[in-house]
Amino acid sequence: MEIKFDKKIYKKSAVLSAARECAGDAGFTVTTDSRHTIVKISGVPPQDRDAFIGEFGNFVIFKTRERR
Amino acid sequence: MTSANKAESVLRFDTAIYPQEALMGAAYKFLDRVYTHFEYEGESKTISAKLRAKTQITQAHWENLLEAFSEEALSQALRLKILKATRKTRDQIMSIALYCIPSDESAMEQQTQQCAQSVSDEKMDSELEEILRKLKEEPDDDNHEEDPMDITVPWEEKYGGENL
Repeated sequence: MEIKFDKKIYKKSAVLSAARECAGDAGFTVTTDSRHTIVKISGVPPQDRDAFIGEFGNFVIFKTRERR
Repeated sequence: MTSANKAESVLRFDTAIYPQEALMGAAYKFLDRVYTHFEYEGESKTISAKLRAKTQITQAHWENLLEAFSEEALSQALRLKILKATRKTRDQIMSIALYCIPSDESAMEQQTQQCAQSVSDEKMDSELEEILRKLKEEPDDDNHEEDPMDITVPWEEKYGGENL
């Protein structure tokens, strides 16, 4: 599964920090394109995927706010 | 603003009214209730916020939550506007406060006096004069001298000393 974070809204450092902190729960690969920071997540059980994506997104919001 | 079923909706915000930082602030406040994901709509200045409820809730509750989210975004936007508008004043207060910190206890009294002088001297006087001048120039809409209902007339004069 994949989440795309708009670079104009989410700081890349916040995405990386969140991925680093959640690395114990799942596998993370962070790449970028011209507009997004893309996070590929693996190793999450199918029944938990929606909640995991949501929680990860919220965690990035928290990290972005923390950096202001 | 558009909405969908199953406690998942997309709200659209114009960044001219709702700055990005304000939206982040609103999302931060709702971290415990909704999952939020922001995305700019193409090259426009509109941000779409995809909101998803964390738990199963009724449609009415969800609509209330969306309304509260929008209100919070507006509140955060206003807060940012006030912060920007008063930044200079706050910086001035801070610089005066920091400038006034005495290096040791014995110098406290002397330095406090110096600070008080520096703050209250000519600049302060001229500012006060300017404020007073403006106040005098302003038309006096609240004329308290008029008393059409004789409120200031003593009871005895008004009713000739009659007791009720």
